[in-house]
Amino acid sequence: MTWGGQLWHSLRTDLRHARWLLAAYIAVIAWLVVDRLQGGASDQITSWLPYALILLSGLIIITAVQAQSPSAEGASWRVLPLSPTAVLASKLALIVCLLLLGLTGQWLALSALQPDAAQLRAALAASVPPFSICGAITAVVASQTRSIQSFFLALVAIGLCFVLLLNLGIDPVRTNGSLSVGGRRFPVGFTVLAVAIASMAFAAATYVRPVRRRVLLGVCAACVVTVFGAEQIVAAQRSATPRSRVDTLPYLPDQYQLAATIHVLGATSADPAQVDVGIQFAVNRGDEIERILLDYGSILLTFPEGDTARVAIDGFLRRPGSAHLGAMEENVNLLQDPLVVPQSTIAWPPSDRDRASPLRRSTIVLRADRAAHLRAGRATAHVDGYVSVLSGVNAAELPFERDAANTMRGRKIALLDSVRAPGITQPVMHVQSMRSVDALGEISGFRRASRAPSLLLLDSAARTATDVGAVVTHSVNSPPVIFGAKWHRMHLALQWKPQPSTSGLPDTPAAPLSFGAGTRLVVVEWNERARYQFRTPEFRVSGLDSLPRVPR
Amino acid sequence: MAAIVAQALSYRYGRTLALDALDLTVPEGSMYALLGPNGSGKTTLMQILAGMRRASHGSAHVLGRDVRHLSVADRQRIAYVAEGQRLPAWMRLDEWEAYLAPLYPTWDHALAQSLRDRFDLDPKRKLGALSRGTAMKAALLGALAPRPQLLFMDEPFTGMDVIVKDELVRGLLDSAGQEGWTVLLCSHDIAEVELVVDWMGLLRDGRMTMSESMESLQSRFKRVEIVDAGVSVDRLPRGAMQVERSGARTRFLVSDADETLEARLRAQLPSDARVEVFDVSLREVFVAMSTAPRSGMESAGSFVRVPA
Repeated sequence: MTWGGQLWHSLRTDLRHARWLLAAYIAVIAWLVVDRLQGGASDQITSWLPYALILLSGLIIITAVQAQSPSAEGASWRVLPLSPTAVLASKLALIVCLLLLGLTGQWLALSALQPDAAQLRAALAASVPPFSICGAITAVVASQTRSIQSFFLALVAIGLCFVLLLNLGIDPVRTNGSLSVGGRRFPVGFTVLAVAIASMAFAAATYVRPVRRRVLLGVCAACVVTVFGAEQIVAAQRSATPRSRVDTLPYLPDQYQLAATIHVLGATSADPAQVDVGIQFAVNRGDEIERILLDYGSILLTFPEGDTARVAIDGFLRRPGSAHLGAMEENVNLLQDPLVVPQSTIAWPPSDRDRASPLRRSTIVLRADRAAHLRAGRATAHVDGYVSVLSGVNAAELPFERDAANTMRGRKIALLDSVRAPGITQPVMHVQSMRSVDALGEISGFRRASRAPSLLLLDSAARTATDVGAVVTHSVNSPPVIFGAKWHRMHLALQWKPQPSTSGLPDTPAAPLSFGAGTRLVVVEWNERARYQFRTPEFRVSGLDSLPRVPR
Repeated sequence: MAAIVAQALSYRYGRTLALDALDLTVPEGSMYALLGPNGSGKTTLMQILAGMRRASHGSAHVLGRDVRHLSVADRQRIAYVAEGQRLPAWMRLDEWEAYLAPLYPTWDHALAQSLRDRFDLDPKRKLGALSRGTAMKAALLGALAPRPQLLFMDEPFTGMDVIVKDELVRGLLDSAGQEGWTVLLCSHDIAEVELVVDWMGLLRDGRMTMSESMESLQSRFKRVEIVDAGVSVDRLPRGAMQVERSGARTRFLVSDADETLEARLRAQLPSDARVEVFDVSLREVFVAMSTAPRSGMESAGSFVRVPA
């Protein structure tokens, strides 16, 4: 029998061995495809199916690998006239078969959204690495264990090791971006890649040559810990990247006129010694429909005694951060998301009136403990950071009327009426969209919310477009079939966007919106056009002499 | 020509030395019994020779090939069957045969059918559902049907009833004799082994303490019985083992017997003493060699008559 014949013989046997699991795997894929083609009608049930798919693929791989375990001392398959490399190749071929089945399902499911070729290619390509990595890890661990129980026990043990390592050793990577071994520093990416390749090569080598089991255990553990840790390490690398790049960016051109002011808003905390500080960025618009997004801002507060506090307004952060003030530590919490300069009412194309409109403002609220200095306006500030300029692109357009629908470029939109209250209806938009997972964006949470598409209501007669607000009433975000791409299904209740307030007053309540003849709904996607850095000269914080008291 | 040659073979499990610079030569076409007490290293040796383990030191060749570099073609000429061998539990016997058959150009379907009948195996039963003995029969079927040139059998009779064991032994004798197979057999069932093998090796503490043909063994090992009504024997001749005394009767085993043994013994004993020399079984040789002191199985001296 030729080498290829042995591979096929072994693969066919593995497929027959796992036939029921394989049937379940295919059935789950089919169910997901049908569900996606029907617009995710049963997404409450199917949202967990991609996880079942992972479990099933894992079980199939474990079954096949452990049937011809390379680590079992005295494994009798070794005396059969089968080339060990053919056996190894058959296990890899099995993973490829599972991947191809998953990709076929992915392709079928995504085709419902009519993505263009590039989108589809990207989505399918993005699905390959996570599946391959998970498959390879499963195969490596399975090759060193004898049963499904021992596989999961090994996985738990490796997970515990990982947690330990994370606490003991890996965490410094977050700040340094490199691993330190014996006083020498190694680039993280290189280290991860080297250890991962070495571990997998070692596991593969055990097929070719019998190796003692206990030798393998350590290597296997190291391999999986590394791969588990990779996400953390990559995240650390990514988060370190923007800061290092900021100095190389060009300065924000004058046309944007970005300005920052810092002033005390008042005390909203039960702690009278704490005040909220508003940092207001203002920016004008350019000539095109565009947005300016603050990616990273650093505010250096200097107090009269010479103490300083640096506060980062980081596009990565989604939770309160902290800052150090000189020798003592004070908490400065970021309460709002990074700055997004909204276009509350814009023309399409921009009208002369909008070109001349004043600077748009956006406020970020910080909570700081240096009440006395801030209140008295004795602190000075220096702000720098960088911004992204996003251009709006017309991604989809449909009549703003009941039952209108549009499917193109990976997004399917349908407008429906929904009962808001007895006798009152509200336009609701059902959106199904796809995208390939952007590792950077996914890991860091960077650019997600602020780059979400905008909705404009276009009045052709008046040649104006108005920003439409959308409230998410239902949202399911899951893989179309296998991980690597996202299938997002949302129900959005449409309403007029509230007018942004000035001077800390509440926003103007949203007006009811209803379908209107002659108007069209435009979906604007935001694409990054450029990134700039900015710096403000030192300025004094606007103080507030009498802070409102908050009862305890 | 030798089918198996091992030189200075060592294998270590942690701190335990399972095989200690072991040498072994198995002639082609022979049926070689590897005997030894539990833990002497028989299974380890067999697995190294079958290419399932790597020796820590030393070299081993089977059918002229280094066991570390056995090709697929080499493996098509070798079969291995062992007690506790993990068969694919999910397969039925017929599926197991269908899996193995394409791997061996020499697979003999008629022999497989005959073995299935002889062992009374149900082709539709799952291998995982078979009893230990029946699973062993299935494993034997898989090992014998390719008509291998070299067959490793590690405790093949485990769990088999007497009739099947007898059939298997006869089948082995037929096949091995006709086909010129070389069989390396390791078993605790010495009575069955004795019927089959023509060579024997004895392993003890990872070392080969003896390796020779059954013909040589049977001519060299003899049981001696001396009956002397008036005296008892106090000192035994060189090489005496397994000494038993009962009144005037003394029995022992010698390992250096030749045609002059009886005459030599008579020459040292009074004329009224009765000397008888018997052939010994493999079991007796095994027990004697396994229990003899390591330093040597000899107690120097000649017969001395003492008062009864």
